[in-house]
Amino acid sequence: MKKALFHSLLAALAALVPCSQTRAAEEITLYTQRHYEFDEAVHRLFTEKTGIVVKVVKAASDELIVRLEEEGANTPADLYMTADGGGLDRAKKAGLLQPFTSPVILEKVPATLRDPESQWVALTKRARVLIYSPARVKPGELSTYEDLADPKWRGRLVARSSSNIYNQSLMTTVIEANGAEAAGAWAAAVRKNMVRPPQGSDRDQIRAVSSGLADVAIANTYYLGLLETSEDPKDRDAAAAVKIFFPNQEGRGAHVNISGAGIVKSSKKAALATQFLEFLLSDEIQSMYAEETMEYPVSETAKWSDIQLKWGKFVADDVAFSVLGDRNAEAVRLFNEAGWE
Amino acid sequence: MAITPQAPALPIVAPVADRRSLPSRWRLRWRGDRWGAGAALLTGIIALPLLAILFYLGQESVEWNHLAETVLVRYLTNTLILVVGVSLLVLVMGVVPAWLVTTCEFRGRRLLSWALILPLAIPTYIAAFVFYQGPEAAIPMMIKIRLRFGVEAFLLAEQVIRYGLLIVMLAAVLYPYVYLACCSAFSRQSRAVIEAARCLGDSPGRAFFRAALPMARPGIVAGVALVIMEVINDYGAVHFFGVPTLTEGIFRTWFGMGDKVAALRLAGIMMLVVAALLAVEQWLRGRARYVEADAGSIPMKRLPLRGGKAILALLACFAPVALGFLFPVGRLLHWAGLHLLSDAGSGFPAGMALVRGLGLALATAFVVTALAALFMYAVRLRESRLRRALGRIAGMGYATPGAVIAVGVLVVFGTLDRFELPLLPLVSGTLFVIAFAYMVRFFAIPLQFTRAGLERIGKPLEEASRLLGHPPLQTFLRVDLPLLRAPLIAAGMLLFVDILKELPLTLILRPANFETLATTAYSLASEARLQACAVPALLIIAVGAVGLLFMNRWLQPPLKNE
Amino acid sequence: MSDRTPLLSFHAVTRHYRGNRHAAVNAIDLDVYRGEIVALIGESGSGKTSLLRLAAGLESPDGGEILIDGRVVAGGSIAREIPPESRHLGLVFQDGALFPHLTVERNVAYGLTTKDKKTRVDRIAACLELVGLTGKEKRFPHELSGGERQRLALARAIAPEPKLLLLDEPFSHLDPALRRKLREEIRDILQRLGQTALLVTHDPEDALAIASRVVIIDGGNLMQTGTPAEVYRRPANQYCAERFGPANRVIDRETGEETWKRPEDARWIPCDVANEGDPVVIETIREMGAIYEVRVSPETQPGETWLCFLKEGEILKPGDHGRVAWRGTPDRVAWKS
Repeated sequence: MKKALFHSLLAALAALVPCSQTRAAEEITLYTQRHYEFDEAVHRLFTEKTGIVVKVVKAASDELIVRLEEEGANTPADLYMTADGGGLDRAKKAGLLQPFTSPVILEKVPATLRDPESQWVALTKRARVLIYSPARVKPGELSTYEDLADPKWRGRLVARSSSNIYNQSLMTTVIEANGAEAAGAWAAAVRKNMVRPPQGSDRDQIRAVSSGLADVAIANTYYLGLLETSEDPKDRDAAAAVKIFFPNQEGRGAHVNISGAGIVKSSKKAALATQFLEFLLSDEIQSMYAEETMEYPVSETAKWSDIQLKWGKFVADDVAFSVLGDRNAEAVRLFNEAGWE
Repeated sequence: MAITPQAPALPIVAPVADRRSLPSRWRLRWRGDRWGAGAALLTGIIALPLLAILFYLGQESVEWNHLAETVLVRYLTNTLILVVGVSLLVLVMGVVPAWLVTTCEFRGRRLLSWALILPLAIPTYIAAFVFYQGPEAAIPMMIKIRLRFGVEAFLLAEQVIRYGLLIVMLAAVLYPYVYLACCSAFSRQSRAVIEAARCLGDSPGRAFFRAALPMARPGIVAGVALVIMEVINDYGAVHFFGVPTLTEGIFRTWFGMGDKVAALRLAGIMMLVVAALLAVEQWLRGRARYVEADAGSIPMKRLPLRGGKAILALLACFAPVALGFLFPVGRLLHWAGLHLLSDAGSGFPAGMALVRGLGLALATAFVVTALAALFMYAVRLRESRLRRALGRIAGMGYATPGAVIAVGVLVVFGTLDRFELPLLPLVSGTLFVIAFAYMVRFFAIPLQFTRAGLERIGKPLEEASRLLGHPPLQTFLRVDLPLLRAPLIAAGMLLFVDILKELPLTLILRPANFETLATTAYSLASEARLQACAVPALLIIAVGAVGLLFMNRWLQPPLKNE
Repeated sequence: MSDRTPLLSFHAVTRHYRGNRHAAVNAIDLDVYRGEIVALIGESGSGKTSLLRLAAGLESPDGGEILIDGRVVAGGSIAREIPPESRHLGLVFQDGALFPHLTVERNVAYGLTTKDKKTRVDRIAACLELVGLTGKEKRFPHELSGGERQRLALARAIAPEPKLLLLDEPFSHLDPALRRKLREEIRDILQRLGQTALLVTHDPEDALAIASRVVIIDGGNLMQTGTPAEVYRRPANQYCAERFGPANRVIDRETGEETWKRPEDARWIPCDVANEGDPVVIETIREMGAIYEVRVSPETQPGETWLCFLKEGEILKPGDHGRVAWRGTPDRVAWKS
């Protein structure tokens, strides 16, 4: 028994050895907040095409910023990727990124979806929208995010915790549009209209609407898509019972956040990293994003998926993404004051 | 193993004249000077990340006043509600089955005695997904309540169900800490004491409350202390249930508001709470020596139960297993089945990376356990307040949130790397860093086990060995180590399971292309892909359960009696 | 009988425990010579065990120095204490402290340093034979009886041929009958080996039966040392006297000195016979088998009581007047239990 234990330990130690192997011919290291299975498939495609291996570290965007800061010039990272525009802006402001030079990117991506100094570029868009029950919400009742503060929604809303970055980003745009004071009052009123204290994930908010607990949920579009294509028939039923509404279509547009990436300042493989970004922005991959993760492509020429087409075109808020980064702390402070947990 | 004893290599008898001139007070005494220095050094290394964190504490905080005015009270009340609720519940769920299993005989006892530890294999963040089905399933009922009794009643019911379920869920997966501690306490109690209580007119039940329970108090307290630390440290489950505690506050303040200092002050409050708990536990333990029966006493003979009593006992032991293990595993199996039957369940991601994750957990558990055993031996070699303090400091990581430790470790290694020491390879972003962070986080576990083990071995055996000519290291290898085998294997396994379950620290520190089952399960779950997430979740539970059963086997008395 | 240099010496050794006002060992001077069997006797907490642990190196002195074979092993002038493993002492622990994971023979082999297999095997066999454990080599300690365990502890301690054997209350966990038997066995073994030994005990019988010299300790101070007969018959003070059973304080009429007399040394002298001894009045009489326990109050020391073992009890009754005289100190110890 002791022998067996010892041997298994040796085996375990042996398994560790490959980690310290010398670097392969060409590889890039990606620090990413995106934790989608689909991303791994994309990386494999990239390797097949170019022979460049993509090594990945996945963690929350701000945790990765801390790690980049502490690792300094010795970081193995070449690329920093987030699922939120604010994170990109904070990385830039922390001096962690270097500008890219790529005519392909400049041409593919609209100027609003990349950093003016070319330190980061968006790869996909995700819209934070209202998901409602067509059975209980009359047409015309829904209009704007601001309208959710109206007393008519008392006991009819659900949303997740304000610790979530998606809610924090939405809040920064509300602050930007209406000012801090109004935004704080808005958050307090919305919290008051909620049928239950914030909890669960976006998916759980949608389910709360489909099960009849609430009438309207704040959620990202692709969560609805994931429910629609789930393996669990209960999930598909839940998705069928709700509809998407894009708010503020008359005004600034629905809140759109981005997933994007920038090249790490100390990277010595900027060329490879740029090649990778260009690959991700190719129409082939962009259309795959629309199909697989149900995020919106940033490339104007890429195809939307059927589900996205069904949801329909919409006007997007084109607030600068630096706002998301700048106002994040303020947003959390206002949430704290408004009592939105 | 070719370990040559290096400890005091002294001349057997020193000529008096040579030694006279040396001022003795300026020299360390022979005993354990190297051991003591080693222990102090290790403590220093372990404390380094925590110190790095403390360094930030003194700095100016922008948001602290804001936090104090808005959310601090809520964080504290929520933390307190959970701590009290879960503590009370684990007492019932842990102590009662432990008592039944160690002192009574009934059908199914043997099976349940080890099944009762299985919930430890389930990480709280996974249990949270499963148990959150509860509030979802209750929605139709909630709607009825709102229609019939109004919004206030509804909100109250919602609160009660959510907090209640969270408490039940945490207790259901954490009670084994108390169960294990109680089993060992009860099984070591002398039959004579309980019999004395019976002779003095107590029924078995009264004897339990008046004699067995008070005697087991130190063990119970130790178990509950572990549970409380896990509760305070929990991050995934409380977030999911919308019950923000201090830990969630730390993350929110640090990453959402960018105020490191305020976040660390929250962590500081948390560590104070835990330090106070540890101090109480220490105090109770310090007195416990007079309470516990000595190891050589006659073990309890189990009381056979029949009929209704046997069924009740069976139910009392089965209920925690059902709630903490069978229910979540059943749900996960259901989801995993849905996933594997659908065409989406084709490939399992990151196979090789997972093997490495397992390898790392196993190797780290082994090395850290060995270090902890040597460390505790050094601390006990010459007991002093200083050395006991070393032990406490080295165990502080257990009371610190994983993410905070991760950042401390990053600061330490980042600083080291910046010096670009010629002999030191760049360590940032390697497995060494994450293994070290695990050690900082979990050092308390093997420390506790070793301490208990060494206490049971007792000083005289070591002294006998020393007098028979074996210096400390040899004594450790030849006497303590063989006798510590059971507790060390148990500690190693528990450590292995804990590392396997660990999430926030792993997420921040893992090297490129490195996955553990926990990170895989987490990324799938945060994609809201519960069905796909069920597969790695079940794997964690399976590996963890095997580890725990292995541990339980070794916890049985090591020597075969006639 | 002994060499010039003591095998073990304490020079003004002091040991102070934290939190205690008084020193556990207070500036004690003591020499143990080759071939001696010294018994340290005292109440629990008197410092006798501390002294033994200081000798073994399990504790460090706070003052004074300890010498083994004329060389300092611990204390004031030495830079680094000699650790227990290098002192070549054997110690038999109170509860044996046997290694539970080793068999009888491997317990004995534990302290042997020789690599030569034959020598080892012979030595183990010899030691086990000496203590009468031959045939139980393969057993584990928990498979032995209490007496066997202590014999094994002895065998283990003497196997490496220590210069000095220390015994820490080695019989305290045994029942009285076994205790007496083992005590005699161990005395024989020690005498046969010519083993120098230091025994710590609170039991006077152990001390008187085994020791060639007895050292009495109280409150960390050395009270008296002497042969068993000396300490029994001529205790230095009341504490020393009481270590070995009841003793009567008798004030010498001529010198006014305090002396202590044993009950069995009392002689009853009827009033009318002679002017020998002290005048007493009988208080109580209890028949104790062959003799009578008679309590008398001496007229010369009012308020005190003497205990006398007298054969003439049957002819006496409370209230009788008479005289009590004391036999001189015999050479032989006449203690019986």
